[in-house]
Amino acid sequence: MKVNPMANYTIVTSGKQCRVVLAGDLTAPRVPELQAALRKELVPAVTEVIFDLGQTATLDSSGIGLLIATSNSLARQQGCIRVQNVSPDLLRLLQSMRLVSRLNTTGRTP
Amino acid sequence: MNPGRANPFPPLSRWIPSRFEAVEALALEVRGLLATHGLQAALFAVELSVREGLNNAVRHGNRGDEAKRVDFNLSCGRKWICVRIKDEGDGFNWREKRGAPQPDHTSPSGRGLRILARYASRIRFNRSGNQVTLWLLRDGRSKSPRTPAKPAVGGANVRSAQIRK
Repeated sequence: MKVNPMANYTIVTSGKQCRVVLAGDLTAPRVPELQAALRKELVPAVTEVIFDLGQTATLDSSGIGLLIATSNSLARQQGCIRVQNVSPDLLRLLQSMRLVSRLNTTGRTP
Repeated sequence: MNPGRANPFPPLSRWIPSRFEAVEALALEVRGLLATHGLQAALFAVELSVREGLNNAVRHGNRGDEAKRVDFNLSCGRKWICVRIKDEGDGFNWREKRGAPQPDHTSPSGRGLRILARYASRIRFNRSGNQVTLWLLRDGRSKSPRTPAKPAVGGANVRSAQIRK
């Protein structure tokens, strides 16, 4: 398990699955470090990356770019991304960008 | 705090260096300001638009040159929240972006302006393209662009740009 308190994320990789839990927003200043950390995790054995956005209020275009880049990387190794626990505001944002199915997005349970 | 007041707070004017960390700090200041004054309904749209506008100014306008600054102004009227962002770059040809198609769903970039168009009711660039002015509804709804009754900012050199929603 990798925890970075400055960047507010936790990455847990177990077998084929990598789980990324964000403890804050996914925005431009946070993307480069998280992207670098993810690159190390995306070994060929990993075929599923789950982003838990349960504590994320804002996702900007850089954050969306990170999710799509991760999805692209996984597609090359027959894997997929899942974006879970997104807020209603973020769900509407991803809907308007037509990315809900591409990112296998699910909203927060009430 | 009465959310219907015409000017719940005085205009917020700041300048920041061309760094994403400075964008983050200013976006959080805007978040706090809107929350403090009972404007939660508009918070997500305004904060995200502020981030996208500032990120564009830092990344594309000033090209990350920390010696260059980004000027920022936010004001609130009875119906509209107005955001103005100006960088020190050469600008860009925003006219080419009008009606641009949605980026391919595998493209990790090219969504900044589209997000602005999604949330702002009106977007105006100056002639050279290094200043953008956004109008967002205080109630947080997005709405088809039309002229606000009394724009808070603008000028003779300003032209409208509508980007397909």
